[in-house]
Amino acid sequence: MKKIHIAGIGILLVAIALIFSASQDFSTYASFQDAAASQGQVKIVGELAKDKEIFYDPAVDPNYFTFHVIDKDGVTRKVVMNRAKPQDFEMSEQIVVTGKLKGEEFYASDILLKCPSKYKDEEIYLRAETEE
Amino acid sequence: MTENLEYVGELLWPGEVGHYLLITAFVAALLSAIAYAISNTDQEDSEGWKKLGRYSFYIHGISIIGAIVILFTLMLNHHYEYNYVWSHVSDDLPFKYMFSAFWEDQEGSFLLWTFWQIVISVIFIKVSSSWESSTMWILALIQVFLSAMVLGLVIGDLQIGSSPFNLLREENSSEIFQNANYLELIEGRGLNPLLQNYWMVIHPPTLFLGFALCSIPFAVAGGAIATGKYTQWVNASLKWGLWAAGFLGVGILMGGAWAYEALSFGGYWAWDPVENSSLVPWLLMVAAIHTNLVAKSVRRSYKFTYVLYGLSFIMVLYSTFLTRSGLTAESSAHAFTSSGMEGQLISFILFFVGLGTWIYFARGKNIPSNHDEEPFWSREFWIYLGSFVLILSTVLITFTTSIPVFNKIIDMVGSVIGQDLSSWHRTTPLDPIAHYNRYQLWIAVLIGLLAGTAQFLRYREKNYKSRFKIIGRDLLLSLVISIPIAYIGLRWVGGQGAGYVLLIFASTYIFISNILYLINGFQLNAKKLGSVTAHAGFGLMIWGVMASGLQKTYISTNPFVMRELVADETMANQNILLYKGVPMRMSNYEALYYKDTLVRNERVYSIQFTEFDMEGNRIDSFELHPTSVYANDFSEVVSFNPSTDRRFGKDIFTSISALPPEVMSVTEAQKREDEMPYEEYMIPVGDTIYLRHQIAILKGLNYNSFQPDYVPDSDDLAISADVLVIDLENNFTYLAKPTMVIKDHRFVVHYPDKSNETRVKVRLGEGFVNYLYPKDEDLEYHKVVMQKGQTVPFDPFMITLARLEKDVTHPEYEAEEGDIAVQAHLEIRNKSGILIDTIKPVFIIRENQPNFIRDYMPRSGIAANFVKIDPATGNMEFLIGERPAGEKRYPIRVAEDVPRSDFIVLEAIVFPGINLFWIGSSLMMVGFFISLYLRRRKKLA
Repeated sequence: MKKIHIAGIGILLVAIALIFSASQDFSTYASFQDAAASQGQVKIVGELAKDKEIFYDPAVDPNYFTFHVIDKDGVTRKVVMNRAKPQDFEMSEQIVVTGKLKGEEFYASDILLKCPSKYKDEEIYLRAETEE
Repeated sequence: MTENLEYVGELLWPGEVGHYLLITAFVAALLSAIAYAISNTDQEDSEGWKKLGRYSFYIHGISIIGAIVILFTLMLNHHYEYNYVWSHVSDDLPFKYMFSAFWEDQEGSFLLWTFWQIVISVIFIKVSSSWESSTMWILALIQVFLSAMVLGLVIGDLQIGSSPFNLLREENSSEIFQNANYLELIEGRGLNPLLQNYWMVIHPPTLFLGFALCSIPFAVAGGAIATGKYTQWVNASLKWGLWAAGFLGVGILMGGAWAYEALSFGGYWAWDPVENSSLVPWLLMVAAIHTNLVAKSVRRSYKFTYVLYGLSFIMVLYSTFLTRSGLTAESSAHAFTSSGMEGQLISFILFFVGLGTWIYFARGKNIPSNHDEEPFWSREFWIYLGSFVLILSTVLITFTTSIPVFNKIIDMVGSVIGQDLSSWHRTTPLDPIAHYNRYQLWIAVLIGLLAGTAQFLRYREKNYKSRFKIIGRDLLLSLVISIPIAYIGLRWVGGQGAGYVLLIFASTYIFISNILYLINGFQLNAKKLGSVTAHAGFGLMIWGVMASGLQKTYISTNPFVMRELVADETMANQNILLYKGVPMRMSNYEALYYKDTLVRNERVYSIQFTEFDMEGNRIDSFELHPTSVYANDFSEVVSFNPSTDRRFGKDIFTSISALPPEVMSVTEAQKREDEMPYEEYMIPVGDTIYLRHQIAILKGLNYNSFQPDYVPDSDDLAISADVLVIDLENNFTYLAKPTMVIKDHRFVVHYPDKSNETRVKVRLGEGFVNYLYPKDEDLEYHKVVMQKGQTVPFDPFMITLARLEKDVTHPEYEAEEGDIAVQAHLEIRNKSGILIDTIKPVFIIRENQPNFIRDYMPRSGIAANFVKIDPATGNMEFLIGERPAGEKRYPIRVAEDVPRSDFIVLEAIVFPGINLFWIGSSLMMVGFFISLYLRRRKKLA
């Protein structure tokens, strides 16, 4: 066996080890119940509770934004973020928040929104409408 | 249901021609592939088949370019009957964004990609003509699959490709298509405002050029091996590989620059699936170029090189699949929707995986391989190690990026075995940037150490001991110089832990050793310039990555605002509120938002920054202009564009993260205005309203100057009140000009005036309608008879019947068949002879009955009806109305303690050393082009 083959096999083993270690970073989508059980960060996928309050008043605090998320089990929790409200937030179909639960509130450090593209499923613009 | 309708104004023949051109292109590509393939096997008529292949390919190329020209012309002329045109173009889209609109969607971007493949293939036929037969059959096969993407053929249930020439009414169902004249009624949706950006004009073509170039080395190597030319291809493949790495690299960097300059996430690289999937083919291409060098120099690793070129091309296809299948929507910030062509893309990938594998196993055994071992201190050995490291990097990136694909496969397995396996689904890492950085850091360390050392090694080194006597000094010198510089660097970038220590050392080492290698023996060597530039550039780039990444600081934090709620260190405040005209201290800067102006659909905010040193002395000042972008119809703000102050040592990046809700959306503004707690005061001019904190004085009415948002139009009736708001306590005054406008004599528009400083908002009461358009019973009418040109006194004015016009311009007049209409022009002058108003009443005879339309002008307060014409005498009879005398009171509405709406929420980040990243990464790409240039010069010499 040549040295380069040994090196190759070595790299392969490293690759397997790293992939295994990298996959530890992958997580499953948690529910608020899982978040309550876990001490660390979790990723929750859910929907915006459209009937609950969405609060962002930059004039009071530009880094305070709260809303409510319904997780996949149907549990609703208030989510608090220290950031500005993202664009098109109300339109989102799905929300993925990363963070941890403290008491009744979920403190999120990161948010990802899945929005229907505004430029896709729209009714055909009527010229008369746009002229008004 | 609307089958038999004859539509008006549709231009259908270009679409049909375009559609046939696409079918021709597909068939011609297929024919070309077959002919070229046969030319390799048919010894007798090889030339004939080759010619057939070449001409078929030209027909393919001309057809595709023809289809592109047709589609682009349809877009330029706003032919909204075509779905693609309607979806991406609007009447007001400027020409420069037509290109962006062209490749905004699947069909256009596939056409762009196909176009580049054609251009490169034609160049290939010209410059690498000896490889034409063996290569072009593979390139033509790629064209078969690419042109099938835009074919738009439906055979039974199977749809092949999606045509850009489909009609709007075929793709959408709407009641509007019941109307034969529907084209008159519709307007294009236009280009997504986020993409109305010059990067969108230049980035996609460069990236697709890179993608297209990635197919050439694979086709050259694979085609040559398949046709029995097992080893001769290494020169041709290397040349095209360098072009591919150069252009794809530039394309990726442009993407990073776009993200940094125009998107507001604050950074040039976020390990987004879309970014990753373009990086992976590039890394493989770079690895392949290195093993190709080995193959060329020591006649080894032909198979390995071929495999790497193949993988690079396959990963281009996989990247296309990932970004267009909609699978990455949950993990990517770039919202890609499913194209419905996943099956077709998968068969594209599988076909070339199959072809590549077949070539490898069927023909690869004939490739001569070298069985003696490469010495440890030989350059080839170290290059192999480097390639392994690059492959390792791509494996790790691809693995994590493919999580959505794994989930999909789990679902498919689940549906086969009839179980719900969704509990097996995994998500992308919680913090993707940290995840990728953690692993790729070690890749960069290894690349730095390997490439820094390998430069000094020779191929087939037999006697490394004597070699070390020559290079030992340089290697030692590199090491010795690197240590203190790396130490300084570490102090600057402030990384903690062994990883960062090694990374800064490795990146310093690769830079220093390459420079020493270039001037080795104090003799600059042009031959080495390409590789030295690329490798040293890599070192600089890593310095830039570390400095800008580790030292990235949010300066938009206000040290005086205390917050009880900080749940996490990572959630530090990143945004600051800036009121217009109020300087705000943040970190060691002072920011003053002092102006905003509207430019097309962007509002540009001017912010003056002043930088202070530790002692509080002013050291620098500069201006930044972040913007907010409105939707095409201005109904809301859809995105924010950042603005960056670029300096040598650091960048200051700013982006707006929020605006007041009433500025963000028209609906919200309307809602807030409706809920505004106005009090109405009926007061005469000169009276004072006593408010809680201020007083407001009605100074007078005004017909000439209005609230600044109002743009006067010719048929408007407009009035404003001058209301002086005085804040006695703060010694501050504001002259509000609330305005009311009646547009087209039909609807009322209010322009309330707000003083953000005093938080008072003033609006005209609805009663002002009576001043702009009084009822007849509120006026006192007098009969006046005049002849043309005559002037009569009408206290306090003089009225002249200046003209009679057949052309009636009165907004209330709607012409009917058989009307006889005359419009009088009555000029109202005051006693000094100054023209106050021109009143234009209308006299109509309709169906033998006299009718008249009143005209009224608020400035003079005079109304006129044109009631009679006596043709015999030329006497015209008017009823002139005036307001009755007496004290006049006006309804002024005032709201107090109104929230301010003149602020922005700003995010400001300092990126130190980011220019090292741009310089370093650009040098890497320049390295590829220097190599190409030097190789060409060598060949010519």
